[in-house]
Amino acid sequence: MHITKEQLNHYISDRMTQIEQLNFLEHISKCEFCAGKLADAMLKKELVFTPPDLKDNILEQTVYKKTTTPVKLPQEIVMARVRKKQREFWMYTAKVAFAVCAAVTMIMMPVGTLPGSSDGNYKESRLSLTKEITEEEARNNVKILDLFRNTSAKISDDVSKALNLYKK
Amino acid sequence: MVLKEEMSENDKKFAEMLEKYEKLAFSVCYKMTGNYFDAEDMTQETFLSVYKSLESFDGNNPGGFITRIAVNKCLDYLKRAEKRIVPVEDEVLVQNASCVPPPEHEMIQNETRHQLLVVCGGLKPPYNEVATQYYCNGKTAAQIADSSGKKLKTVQTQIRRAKEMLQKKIRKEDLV
Ligand SMILES: [Zn+2]
Repeated sequence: MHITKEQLNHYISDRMTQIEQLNFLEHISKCEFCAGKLADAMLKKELVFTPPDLKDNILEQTVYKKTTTPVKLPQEIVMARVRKKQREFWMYTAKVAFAVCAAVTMIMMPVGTLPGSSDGNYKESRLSLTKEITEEEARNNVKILDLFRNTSAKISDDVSKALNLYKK
Repeated sequence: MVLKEEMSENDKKFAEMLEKYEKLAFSVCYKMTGNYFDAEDMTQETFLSVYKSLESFDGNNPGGFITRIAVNKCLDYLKRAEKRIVPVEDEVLVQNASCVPPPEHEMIQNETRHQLLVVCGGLKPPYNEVATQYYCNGKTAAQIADSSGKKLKTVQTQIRRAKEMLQKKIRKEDLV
């Protein structure tokens, strides 16, 4: 049995008991015809304002979500892409390995063999920075520090790039 | 963002239905849950379901199609949350039946706005500010990000967190 006009009015104006409401809604949940009647009655009154981003959030979970997943590509294109990604990954790995080797070599190198340090003792050469040193020595010391800094920055950069590639 | 031309026929149909019936679905959910923030969740669930069953929809009676799904979702929600539809005392009913019902459209809008202002304002910073801007002033997350100089992602996260707090808050108050 479909809902009556009276029932509809009572529902809309909150004049139903709990049980009446439940029966009314249970029927509507199974009957599109009566759901249409409720829709019409609701549309006649001023509808509640909605949260500003609700529509966009729904679109993001439906329409946009689907189109962001890759379209099915021919097998050879997919394989070519995979091979390219693999090549890129190994290139980065090689670069990182090289950077690590370079850094290790520099760290292992006795400070005395680096240009600009007058003494073989690292501690003393650092201390000498605070003492009187020639302008050229100071410049060289700065260069060495920069070299260290750049190398370590490059390593962490390469590592994160390689990790990103690998994740993809 | 995807351009409309790139959308499939189904997607276009869905976007149009969403545009036209978002408020209807939300109003049905709000009437049934009595909670603005739960109504937001239920409206989302409703349209996700509409999207999935679009293939089987013949195009007739779209309002009924969406309303039926919304009512289904909310009945499930009410059962799940063991929440009951706000009980109406029989005595009150008898009294009310004889008087003319109030002009409730405006009342609902104003009451809702007032309630939202109170609950959003009661949150701790920065959630009170963001929630008031979003739920009461109708500013989108992008607009809030623009005017406050915050990142969009940050604002979106703050809105989500604010909503979770508000849901809990309102549900608690319902129990009292
Ligand atoms: Zn029916």
